[in-house]
Amino acid sequence: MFVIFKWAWREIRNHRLFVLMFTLNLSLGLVGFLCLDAFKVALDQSLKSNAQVMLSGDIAISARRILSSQELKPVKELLESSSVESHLWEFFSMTAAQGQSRLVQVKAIDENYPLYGELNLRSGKKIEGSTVKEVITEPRAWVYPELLAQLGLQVGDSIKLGEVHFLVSDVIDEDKTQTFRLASLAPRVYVGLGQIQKAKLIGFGSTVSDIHLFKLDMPETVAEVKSRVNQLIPDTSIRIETAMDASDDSGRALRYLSDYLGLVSMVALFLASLGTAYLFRSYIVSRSYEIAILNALGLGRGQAQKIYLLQLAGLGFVSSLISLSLSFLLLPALTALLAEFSPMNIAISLSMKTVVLAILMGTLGSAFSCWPFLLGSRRVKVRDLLVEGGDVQSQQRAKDLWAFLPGLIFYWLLAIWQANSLQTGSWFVIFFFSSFLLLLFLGYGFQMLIPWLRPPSWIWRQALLVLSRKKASTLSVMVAIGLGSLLINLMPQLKASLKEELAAPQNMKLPSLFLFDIQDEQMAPLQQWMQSQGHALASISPMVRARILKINDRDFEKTEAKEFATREEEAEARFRNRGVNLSYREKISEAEDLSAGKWWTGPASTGPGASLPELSLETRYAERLGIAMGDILSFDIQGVEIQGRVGSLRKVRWNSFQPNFFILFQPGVLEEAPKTFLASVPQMSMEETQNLQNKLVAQFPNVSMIDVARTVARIFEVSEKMSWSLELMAFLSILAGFIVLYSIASQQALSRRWDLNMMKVMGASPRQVKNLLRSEFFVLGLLSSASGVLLSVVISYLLSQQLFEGQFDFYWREPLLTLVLVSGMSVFIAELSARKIVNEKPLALLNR
Amino acid sequence: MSLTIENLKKTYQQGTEKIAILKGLSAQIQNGEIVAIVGRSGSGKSTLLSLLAGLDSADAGRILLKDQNILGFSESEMTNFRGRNIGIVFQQFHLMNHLTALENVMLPLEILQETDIQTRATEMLTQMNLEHRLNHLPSELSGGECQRVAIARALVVKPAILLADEPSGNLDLETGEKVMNVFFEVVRRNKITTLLVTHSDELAKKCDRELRLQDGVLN
Repeated sequence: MFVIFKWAWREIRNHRLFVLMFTLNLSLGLVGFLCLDAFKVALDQSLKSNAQVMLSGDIAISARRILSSQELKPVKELLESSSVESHLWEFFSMTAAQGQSRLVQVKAIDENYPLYGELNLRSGKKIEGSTVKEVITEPRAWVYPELLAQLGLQVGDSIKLGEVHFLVSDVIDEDKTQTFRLASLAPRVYVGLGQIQKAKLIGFGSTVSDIHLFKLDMPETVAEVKSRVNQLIPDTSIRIETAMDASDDSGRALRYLSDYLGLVSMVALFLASLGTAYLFRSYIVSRSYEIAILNALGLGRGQAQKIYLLQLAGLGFVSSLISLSLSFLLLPALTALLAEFSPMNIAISLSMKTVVLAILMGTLGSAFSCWPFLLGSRRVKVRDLLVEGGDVQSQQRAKDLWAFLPGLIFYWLLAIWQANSLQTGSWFVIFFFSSFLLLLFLGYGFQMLIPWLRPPSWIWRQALLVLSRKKASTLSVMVAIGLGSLLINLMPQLKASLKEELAAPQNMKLPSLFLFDIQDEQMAPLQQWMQSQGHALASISPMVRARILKINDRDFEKTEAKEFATREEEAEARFRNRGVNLSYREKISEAEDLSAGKWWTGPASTGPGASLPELSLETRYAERLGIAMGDILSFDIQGVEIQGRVGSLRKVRWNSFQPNFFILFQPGVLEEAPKTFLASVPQMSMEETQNLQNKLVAQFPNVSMIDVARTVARIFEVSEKMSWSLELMAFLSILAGFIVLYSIASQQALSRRWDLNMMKVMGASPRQVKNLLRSEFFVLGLLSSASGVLLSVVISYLLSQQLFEGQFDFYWREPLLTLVLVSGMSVFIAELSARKIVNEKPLALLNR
Repeated sequence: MSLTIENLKKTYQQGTEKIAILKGLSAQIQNGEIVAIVGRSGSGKSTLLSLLAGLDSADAGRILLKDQNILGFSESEMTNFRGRNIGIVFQQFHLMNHLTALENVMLPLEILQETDIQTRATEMLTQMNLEHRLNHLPSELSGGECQRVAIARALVVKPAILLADEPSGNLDLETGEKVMNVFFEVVRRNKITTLLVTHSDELAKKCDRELRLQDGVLN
């Protein structure tokens, strides 16, 4: 064994360039992955330790409606003696001040809030549960700083909510109960619960979250308490969540982002594996002669293999240490970048888990990616040493391909683990390997095409011939650079489509305002008032709150929240647990298309013996709940059970900012049910929109409205920032691609040393040799990036079809930039890696 | 006269010591003459060859080829002159592995931007009895065939002088003999002045003249 160690060390010492390139490749591939893992660990820890503060209680019972005392009675009886309660409302509302109006998120609190944590006010006050709060007894408000900027306010000015003027008494500088920062579309305003009840903002059917928080005397019993509360409240529209559920919820968006960042980092890891595999292949082939000699001297094939496996493990270990050091340097930057998205200050540091992961990934990863080439070295023949002029070679066979399987499975499992989703992880691997195969196919097609090309210059001809005949290196670079280019272009391309789609979905004109919480009795006066202002309401839609009781006589059970194994489970449970909003209309809207069944021809028939009224469901909603055409759904609407049969399925363009619903009833059924209305105001100038909004708020203070243009801009701003972090990770991938290119170019330059010198002997000047390399790598870079860009366009087109129903706009700036930069970088890298050999005198040929 | 070497001197620095390899070496080679250069290992055969090929610079002396002192050329002039006038055959073949036999032989003609490239290359490979191996890659050829392709590549530009460094040194005896038979046949047929560096007395005897490199001079 000692001999094996000694020999392995000697080999490493004597092949410094290989060692350098190998560790550089692997370290760079691992660094993004490790940074992300460190971030995830830190996020989970922060979410766990801040869970109670974020919920401001141990357990919360909430609904998107006002909960009746009857519904709460059993819970209160259960928790009365063992907890402290805090009651609050959360809702969106319009606020007006200084002749301006804005949508705000109102948090109406009682004297016990917050049960955990604190609010830090600009005046220096810390608001805790026991603090005496002036907002409880007085019409005062604490506002987020951005509202001051939006409405040009100062502390001491007042804002109007509903019919009450609230004095802005302080500004909230730190709110630990704030969740995903960028996701909130409106600034928060804290007021007293009693004060807001006076403001008459909340009427029947208003969109409000009624939340009852409880701080348990024994917080450790929370799981048991939750289970008992769940039994006491069977209503699926009432949400029961613990602090841990809430922290999971708060960090969900960030987790999704880090999941996807994790997947993108896997591309860099894959490219690094590709680079290391290529390097190892060249290395092991060059060691065939030595392996044969070792075999001849009595070292068994297995032992010879151990030497190289040991080297791989050693190099993998060193790479993981390098990547850990690099991660250590990069983590402050990552912390700063992701802090903007984070609900709390996350101190990212390398955990023991991350260190162990790095070492495992380094050693196992390098072994998995290089193993197939070690198999070839087993077939080195000692007898070749005896043949005069014979060449000892590592024998690779097609059946060695199976040896890639463990690596592929390892990669697949890693993707599932990174995405926290079997589905997403598997789709990623499928997408990724399809792209990989497509790039291979494009590269192979190009190699087949070359013999037909006859450029007039011998330099170009030779450059093309090299690319065509050196199959492994050309295809490796095509894949490495192609995947990097694909990733780096996919994001801007999708962003461009998203931008177009948000600005004008399917070339529809977006409305200027989206109105909600219009009370039934307000509808007629609102319409009249709008007419008097020279405007008309569009897409007026009634909204009836309901909950699903049964699907085909099967109870629609409430899924109890638990530790979810995958993101799909988590999303599914969330989806099932919410109440539903029903509507009815005669005609299908312009934002909808029927995907199955027929639209109803008139009102539902009533009376004894009449058939069930028809329902139209949104296609994906039906799929998620497993509802098919013809199924019968039972709803509870204010205690009345109503049934309907699914008669059609619709595709809905949600981004049309028109009132859209998952479930529509045939007219003639819900008209008499208690309801509110939604409506939109057609497109007009920003100034007109703002004026109308200000007047509307003054006239109908309880009606909330969304300024669509402003919201679209905000959504885009959020998506821009999120995609920026994804682009950064994609940049890491292309960097890994370039390292692969450098490794391959260096290896190529070395292996072609004699060829290049021979060309000089045959009369080619160093400049011509340099131009040959430049042409070769320019074509390689151009083709690789063009293939990647082409794939990114095709994929973004397909995704656009899927996500935006056909909206696709080619975004040319980034692709063009990629082509120019990647081709330029390829030439630069080739020059860098081959400069020594290009300038070498061909005399070396005689000395060989 | 095809080649004249006058008072050629070359010294190498080895550590602090200067070692004189060529000590005023002179020789004259006639047009079409095949001359063997023999000598012990380390006698300076390869050094002489590198100077004749313009791959290295001498400390003193002249090498006249086509009435031009090649030692006075700049690097770019030498590259151009070498490509057109000097053919070199190496012991290690030095074929481009990604090019077929035909493409390997066409390459020097392409670099020199000659015409009828394919015809001339095919013709030369046919002279080397390789007309059936034109489209084979070096990895598909035997050692002997590779060396014949390398010889064809050196001869295809019709050089004024052919320098061959142990051309059969990497081949077994039988193959080496076969290759050299074709070699002599072709260089004689094309009347190419040839300098053949070899250890083999047998091969040296097949040449028109034999020069022994000893103590830095040719005898």
